[in-house]
Amino acid sequence: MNSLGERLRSKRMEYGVSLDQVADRTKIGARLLAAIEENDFDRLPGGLFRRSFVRQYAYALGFSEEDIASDLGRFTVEEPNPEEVAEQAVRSMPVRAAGRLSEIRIFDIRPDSFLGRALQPVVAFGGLIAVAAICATAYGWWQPNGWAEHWSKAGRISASTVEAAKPAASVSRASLPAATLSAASVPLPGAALPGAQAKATPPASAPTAKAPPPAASAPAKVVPAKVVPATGAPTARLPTAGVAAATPHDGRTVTPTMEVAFRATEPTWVSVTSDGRWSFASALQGGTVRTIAASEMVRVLVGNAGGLEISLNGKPVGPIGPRGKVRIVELTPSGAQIQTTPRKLAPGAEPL
Amino acid sequence: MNLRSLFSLFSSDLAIDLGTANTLVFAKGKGIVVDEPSIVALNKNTGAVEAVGKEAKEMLGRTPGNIVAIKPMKDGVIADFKVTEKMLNYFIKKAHNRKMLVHPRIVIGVPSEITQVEKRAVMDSAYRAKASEVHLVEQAMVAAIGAGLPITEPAGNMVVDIGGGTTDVAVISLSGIVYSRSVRVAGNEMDDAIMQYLKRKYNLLIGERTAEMVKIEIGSAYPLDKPLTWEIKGRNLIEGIPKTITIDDTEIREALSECVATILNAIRVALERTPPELSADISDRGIVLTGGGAMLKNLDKRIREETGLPVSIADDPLASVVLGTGRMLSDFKLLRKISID
Repeated sequence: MNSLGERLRSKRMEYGVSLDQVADRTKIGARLLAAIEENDFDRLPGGLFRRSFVRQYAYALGFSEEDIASDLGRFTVEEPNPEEVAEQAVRSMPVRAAGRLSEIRIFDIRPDSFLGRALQPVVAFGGLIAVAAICATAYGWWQPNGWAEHWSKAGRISASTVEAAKPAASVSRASLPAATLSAASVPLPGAALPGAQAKATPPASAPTAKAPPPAASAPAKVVPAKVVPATGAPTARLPTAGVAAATPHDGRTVTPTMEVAFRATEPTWVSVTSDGRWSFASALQGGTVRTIAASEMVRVLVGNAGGLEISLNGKPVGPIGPRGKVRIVELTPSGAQIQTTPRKLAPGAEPL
Repeated sequence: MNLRSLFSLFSSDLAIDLGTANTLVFAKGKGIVVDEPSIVALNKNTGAVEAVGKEAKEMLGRTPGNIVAIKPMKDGVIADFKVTEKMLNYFIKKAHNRKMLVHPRIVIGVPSEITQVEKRAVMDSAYRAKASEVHLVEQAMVAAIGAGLPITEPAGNMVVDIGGGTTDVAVISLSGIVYSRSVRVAGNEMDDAIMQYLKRKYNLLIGERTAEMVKIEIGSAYPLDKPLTWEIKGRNLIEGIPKTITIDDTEIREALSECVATILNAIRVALERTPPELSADISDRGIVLTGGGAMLKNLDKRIREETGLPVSIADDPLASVVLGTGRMLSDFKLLRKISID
């Protein structure tokens, strides 16, 4: 069978056209067309041009794609990628012949190799476990008494108190100082709040009339500036969420006169103080309902006022505020009072 | 080494042609894994993504009130930052078969005359779509590589990449760009021109999809050997009712003449600015057309007649850019050298 160049030349002769006429039509130089006819393809520019010029010349003479497909096939061989060539060379090399140690691959676990792909999830999972283990070790080292303290604390602190640590982020977003939060999570007396203590009336004085009755027996908590803490109280046990509000530490049972129900319509962070004592702090998910009982007053700090509905003894309090706003709600058996929080609590002010 | 680059070990590197009309994704070791229109359908009420790519294109111009189909790219650059990010996220996930913890290294082709702000927008979008490393390369350059031009030789190569939003003209020698220019006239502008023409001449209102179909079926830049006709359905502006007209290739050619002239002008300017030594090479080798616009019938003939140079069309013009970008994935060291960021 005739070569492509010969076929093209004979066809051109058949039509009786000169190379210059073809060159004029295709705009491809007559010199290059002559090279094609002589099957000297190296004289043509490389890559795409070679194939394109042969095709254009053939089309100009009335050949169809099928006529020249097999001949064009020889130009479609892509120039090999230098990196692939190098890689193939390394793979085919015996291990001892490989130049550098880094090139010796016993297990080829690169992401694009078969083994690499198969091992991907395993390696990823292993990596995560390793990171978690490092974090745990670091935590144990950083804590003075390591994990022992962590577990003993966890045992003492009720579940709701542990939860209180979670909303740290949301509170700090609400621009409450970090110190406030830590004080709110672990409401230890006097010592935890030096500022509040400084403002307090002389030590050992009796609580003022505004102080809630339980404070007299277990005066552990510093409540609003008006309320005087009775210092000298040795310890304050952390209350258990929910029922603790109505049960003072000395075991006396106070009949709850009010029942407050919280229903979150969207994720909302709340911190609740009942009868002057911190009750619980939690990030309530949409649809969550929590109820607490109290006798005197319930004070609620709401992180997302639009997402929480409060009802007092079964009666809804009404809208607290717009979505995303921070509000303080004070509930007494007679009704509810809503306050907007200051951007920053005054130094020494009592946190919720 | 941060956590993202750790995860990048488990992700395929990706080359993305973030085009105005189509987005193509090339995964290293796999080839082209995504080839879909750059369209996102969003729910207006919830802001959720209803569909991306082909599905969203079906919705274009046919959405109910609460869904809106958006083309987040305009003139080769990002017009809607957030939607582009969602689209990229979807395509990257798709390229990885919806695996979790995907943080690939990404190479993106961008028009040559892109501003710093536009460049930043592309990079930020890719980083937000969880890329661990982003490199931008000039579209014309990668189009030339993808088309198979011998760009490493010390000889001039001229490439014209006619995409959806921009036409990039570049002269390349020794793997570097000697001259490049980008005009914001390409496929989408042609669709617009057809819409305007039909509105002006026949008072017929047609949608973008119909205009694009007309361009693909009978659009041409130079008289055809065999005349073509096409039936166009749209809404009559005067009567307000649906109407069908039959139109031939001559009229569409007239509608497209302005766009074609702009592209020709850009090529002429590039030829004027090319250093003489390279001009000599280009007169031998001619011009290479890539991009979807290169498929406009007889555009090569028109450019050949106007410039007197041989014109070649890439074998797969639509995928030239992504193939060229994909080839860069195998050599990140070279890529870091030539990337424009």
